[in-house]
Amino acid sequence: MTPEREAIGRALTRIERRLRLNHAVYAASLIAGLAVLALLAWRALRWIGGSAPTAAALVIVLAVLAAIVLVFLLLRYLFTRESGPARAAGEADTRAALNNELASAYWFLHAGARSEWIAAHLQHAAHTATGLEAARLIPVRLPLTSGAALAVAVVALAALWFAPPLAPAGALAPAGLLSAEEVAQVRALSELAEAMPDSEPARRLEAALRTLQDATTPVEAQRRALAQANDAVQQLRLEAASTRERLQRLSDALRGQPGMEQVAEALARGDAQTAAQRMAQLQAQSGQTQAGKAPPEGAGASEAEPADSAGDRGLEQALQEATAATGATDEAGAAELARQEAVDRLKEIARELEASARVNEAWQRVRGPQLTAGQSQGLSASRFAEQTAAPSMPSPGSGETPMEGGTMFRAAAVAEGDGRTEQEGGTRAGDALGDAPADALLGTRGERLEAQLGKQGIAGEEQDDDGEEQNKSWYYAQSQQQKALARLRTVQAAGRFAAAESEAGEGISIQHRQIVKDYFMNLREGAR
Amino acid sequence: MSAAINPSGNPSGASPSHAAPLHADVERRIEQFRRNFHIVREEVSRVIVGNEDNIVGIMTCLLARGHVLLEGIPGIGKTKLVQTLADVLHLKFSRIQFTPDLMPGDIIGSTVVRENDAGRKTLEFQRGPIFANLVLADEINRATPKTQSALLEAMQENSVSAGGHTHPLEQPFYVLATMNPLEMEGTYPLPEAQLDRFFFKLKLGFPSAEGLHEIVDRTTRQQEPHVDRVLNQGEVLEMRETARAVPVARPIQQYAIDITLATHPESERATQMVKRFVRFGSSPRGTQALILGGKVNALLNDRLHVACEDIRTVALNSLRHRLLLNFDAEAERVDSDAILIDVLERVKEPR
Repeated sequence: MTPEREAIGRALTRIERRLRLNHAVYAASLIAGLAVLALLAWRALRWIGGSAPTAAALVIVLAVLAAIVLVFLLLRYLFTRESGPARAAGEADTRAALNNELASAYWFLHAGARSEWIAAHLQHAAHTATGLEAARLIPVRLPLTSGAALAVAVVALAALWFAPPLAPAGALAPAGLLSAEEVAQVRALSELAEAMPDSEPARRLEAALRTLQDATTPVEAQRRALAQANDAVQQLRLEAASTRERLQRLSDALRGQPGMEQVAEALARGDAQTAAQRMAQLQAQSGQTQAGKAPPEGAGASEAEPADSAGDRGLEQALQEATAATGATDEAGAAELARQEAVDRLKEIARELEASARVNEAWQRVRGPQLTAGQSQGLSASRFAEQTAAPSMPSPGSGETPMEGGTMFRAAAVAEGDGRTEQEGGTRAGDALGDAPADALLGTRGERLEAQLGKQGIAGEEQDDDGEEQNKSWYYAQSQQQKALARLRTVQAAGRFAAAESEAGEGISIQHRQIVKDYFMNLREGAR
Repeated sequence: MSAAINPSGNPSGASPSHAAPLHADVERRIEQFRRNFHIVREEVSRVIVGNEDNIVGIMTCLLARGHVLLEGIPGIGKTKLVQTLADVLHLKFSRIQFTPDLMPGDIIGSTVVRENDAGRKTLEFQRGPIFANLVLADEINRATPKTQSALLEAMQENSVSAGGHTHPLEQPFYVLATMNPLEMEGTYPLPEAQLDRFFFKLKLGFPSAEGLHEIVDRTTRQQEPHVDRVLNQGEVLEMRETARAVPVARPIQQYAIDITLATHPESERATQMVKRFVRFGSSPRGTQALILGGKVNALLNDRLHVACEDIRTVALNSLRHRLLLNFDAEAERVDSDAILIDVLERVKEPR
């Protein structure tokens, strides 16, 4: 082993060891990051508690994402990490700004290349490698970003660890959902609900209002109670509307009955109280006319029977019986009973409607506007998109697209052929019939090359510039025929030139042409 | 990071001659190379203002046995630079002004018939201006492709064929062609295959205000600066041999190849910019130019080996004329330099 190889190998081993140490630190920092992240998420969830479920969900999502990133970084680092002397040489070159000196030297050593220059290079590289201090070149420390991220996570964990809980469960719930004024209104509403006739919606409303008044109820439970109360009020409202509609139908039925006009009119208005009063007046008038007659059997039982129990027969039936009664004693007694029943029923309905109206008004004061707004906010994204989407536009190709300044059309890109249909002759573009005539020959007739040039022999030998003697006994020169032809053409050209000149000068010979020109030039000058 | 190096060791960048006792011949040749290069550069700088990078580029090309294409607007000293270099190098210099009616025979020479007093006729090869060490092909794109080809063939073969004979060109044979990028009317732009024959393409920029002051001062005096012949033919040839001897490790060679491959749009190493704007990438001659230019640059930077930094230094000059850009690049005015800078930023060094 040469001293250069030994020196370089020793230095690279030291550097490689430091690199491995750094790798271990980095991997440990990633694992520590995962642990801190888990602690941070757990503590953040504890800190948030049940007061902000959205924030808790956000924390969970962020924690999962961060964990995925950290695991990915760790796996990538473990599987793509390179090590070895070549890597150490490259790292040392980069960190010490050696311009690939050690990497080149390692490769020369590895490949076994030998030359005077390579030996000189190895000697220089060995000297450089000996001077390298691995500990200072590759200090054991975390990468700056990893260290900073870990520090921030630890600080955040400490802050969360010692921070007071964000919101004790239940304590902030009433304040969070209902204001003090609303709580008072809920209390008043509860009293109204208790006064209502017993029914399923009334029971549900009472239960929901009790939940709302309970200060220890969590916010989420309060929100559910609010929704239940709203449903109950809606149900009450529907039942009231149904009752009014039923009264309207009864009004139509009673309109033609003699003596019942006022009752029908009050029923048509939905005013059950007035209708009950009118019905009671009718009952009183009927009682006076029947005063001498014995009271019907069973009337006492009827009186003792509570009004509510007559509900099975229904108000409609009671009214029909009351109006259908004639002067017979038995029938008069039955009519009296029916009238009493109708009056009781109408009073009951009037109470129900009044209670329902009061509850409704009170509910509107408590949460009506907020609930309405909440319902509108619950619009789904797809529904919103459907409502706000622009009406679909036709394709530009249809020629019906409205555009500013005009309408866009697509035009055909190929023109039709001349005088033929497209099927017969194709189009103007790419018309390839293949029967085009040949182009005319260009240029004038020329003499054959053999006639123009003749081989000229050279006697003797010539010396080339290279110094070697070679036989170049001929070359091409103008032939005798070509020389004669050239002379003939010169003479002919002179004659043609003279003739052309004389014709162009309107018959004035060349020797006199300048005299004529000067004459006319002077004439013009004189005329001025 | 010299702090990581023991003071007893050799800090990176120091001259190898001071590092440790090297082989005497190598040491002598490196010193001679650097000294000669420095002298030439200093001497040329006495006449030429600025353009230090281009002077280095021209010298690198000469020492790497290549030929150079100079591109610049008229009047910025392309011809003067070459003439000064010829004066400094003590080499035979000839200048050919390319025109559309210039024929190949006007460059390489022709065989003529001579008749002596005795009537004896002999054929004689009259050497053209290409038979020189330094040939300035001024405005090469003004001649017809036929004439251009004659010159480019001589550049490639280092010899001239005429009259059935091959005439070798004397070494060093170095062609410096100039090209005006502005007046393109009536010119015959060199096709990419012929541009590829040039080792470097150098762009001469317009001088700065200070540079213009210096030019006016130097050229409007009674006596213009004079240069001495500081290097002879033999010394140039020896420098060429020295440059070739610098070793290149395989990782560095791989880096040069990666850069070349990254200029090919169909290559998986191509950058997004290359895929978008380049029609054809560099030829293998580009890789050769990167390595040879890198060798000269390594010697200039006191290195006994070629580094990635050397490859990067010569990359623009070596590759800018070897990229054939597509229509998108023309439309968006993206030049090959911008693409190469992007490639150099993205191709990673071997580690």
